[in-house]
Amino acid sequence: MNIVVCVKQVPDTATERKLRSDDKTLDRDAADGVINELCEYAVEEALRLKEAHGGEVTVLTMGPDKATDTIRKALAMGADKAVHLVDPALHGSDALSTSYALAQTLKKIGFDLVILGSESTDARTGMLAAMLAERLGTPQLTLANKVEISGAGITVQRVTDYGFDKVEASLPAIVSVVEKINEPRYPSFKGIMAAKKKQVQTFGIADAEIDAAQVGVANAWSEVADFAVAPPRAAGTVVKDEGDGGVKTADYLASKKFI
Amino acid sequence: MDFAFTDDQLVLGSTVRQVLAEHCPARAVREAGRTGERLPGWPQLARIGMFGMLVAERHDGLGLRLADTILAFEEAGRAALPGPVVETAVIAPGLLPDDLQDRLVKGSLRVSVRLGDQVYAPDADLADLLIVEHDGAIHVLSSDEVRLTPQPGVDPVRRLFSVAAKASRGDSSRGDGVRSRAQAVPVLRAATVAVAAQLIGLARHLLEASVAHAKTRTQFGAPIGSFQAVKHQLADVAIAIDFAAPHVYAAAVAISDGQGETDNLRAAKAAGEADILRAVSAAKAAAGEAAALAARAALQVHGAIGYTEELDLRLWLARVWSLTSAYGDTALHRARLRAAILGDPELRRHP
Repeated sequence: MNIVVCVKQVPDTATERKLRSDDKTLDRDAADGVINELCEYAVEEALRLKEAHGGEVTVLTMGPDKATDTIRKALAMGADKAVHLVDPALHGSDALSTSYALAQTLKKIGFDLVILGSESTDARTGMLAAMLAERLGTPQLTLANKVEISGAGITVQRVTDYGFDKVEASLPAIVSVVEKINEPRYPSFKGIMAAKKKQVQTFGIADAEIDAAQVGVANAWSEVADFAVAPPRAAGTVVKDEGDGGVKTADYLASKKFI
Repeated sequence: MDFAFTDDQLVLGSTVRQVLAEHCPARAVREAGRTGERLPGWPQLARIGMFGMLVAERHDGLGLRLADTILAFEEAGRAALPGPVVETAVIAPGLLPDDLQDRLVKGSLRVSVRLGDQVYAPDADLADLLIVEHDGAIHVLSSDEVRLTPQPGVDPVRRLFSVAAKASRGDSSRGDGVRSRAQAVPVLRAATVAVAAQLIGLARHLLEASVAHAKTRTQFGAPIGSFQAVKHQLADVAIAIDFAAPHVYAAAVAISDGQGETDNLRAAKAAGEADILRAVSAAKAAAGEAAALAARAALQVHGAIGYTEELDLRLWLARVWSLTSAYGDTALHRARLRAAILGDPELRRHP
């Protein structure tokens, strides 16, 4: 089975994240890049499926040069090879054009199963799996907390507000996973050293037959109109109890329409 | 010569750091000193390959050199990781017979050691095997062949034991001169440098904790970190660490350059031997001094809560005091260094 895992490099959530003042896109140089946490669960699930059913795990990422760190991490966990889609023309692509670029690349490299994290910690649209499925004409099985494969069929438990749905489809398919699905492994020292020797293929937009007029910040369907620094938190109201503390508290809550 | 760490070496260190941040937090170290889990983080470290790093490739280990792994030991120090980590990951691969090496790689064997300058075996109650020096020969004994007597020590987590062989030891024991003392010397040097790396890690943690405390603790209406007397103490610690760490890394490189050579080659490089001796003692002395300074400054900066049972700081302080005297204390290594440079035979001691 040919499993492709889409991973994304995101700015470290522990550091301050910034937008660029010129084109209002994410300033990827301002913060350390790390692998998106949910992508680690996707990689882990792919590795478990490979261990159970055989096959090969390919990591696919779209991002600038420094996204190779993220590829390296996924390879160290045990993925077999990687494809890095990198091109200046892709800078500032929104979810729609990203899904187009990834779909084009996936058509090139081929797949039986594509696994993604359900969302990234930076953009948080959570739409990529659905968009990819639409563009590739394959079933989408999103928000999975359990994945089972038998023959050419795939069954997932889809997390919902009321519990879970059981969703069945046939391969090839697109799956997005939630963090309850597994516990990602740490890369072993052996894996870290082996990762260097694994094949990382670099694709430009021409290699994946991506139309430059459909990607990039200028062609994005969504755009950041304006942004401002989050205001500092205002000081709280202190109620001094002089026998009427309860009344004052209630008045305050009422003024905020809580009661 | 390029002394910068390679990507692999850095990732190895950061992986250990991540694993221990999650599986060996201060709470776990504290519990290990009481009745809780004695070896937090060990199963996870075994899974990523910590205990097979220095085992030869023919035994399924990674066959790395000490220099490749030195940051892993620094991170073990930073987390104050309990258990005989240097004994199991550094000494055992060098001294255990071939048929036991694969158990090291799997992480199913823990080893304590009483060799060279050591009087007591650390964490011997957690060990499956003991490597003990007796009458100039190295013996490997299983835990049921020895009698352990707990000895008073400063660190409630790294416990010390005196070791005596049980009289009933049968002929089947593998305890008879498995290795000669001379074979233990390079292994002991590697262990000394790995412990020096742990001390650097401990010192880094103590400095970070002290700086954080100095930023939040206020006195006379200002954070104490704004007072020059506090600032200077912490700056002195930072400088001491920055000067000591390269000694440790250099010693790891010096040892690694000699690794894998035949005994003949090594004998031919007697001059290189003196360099290694100097590098190892300089590393242990410098790391010990930096860590001791970090401990003292941390205690000062934390004020009256610094020495309390309730604060995690004491676990790191105790480990510093325990490890500064392990595998030769600072004074011994300074004396050795002096002897190596000035050539005073009176001051030379083995190894």
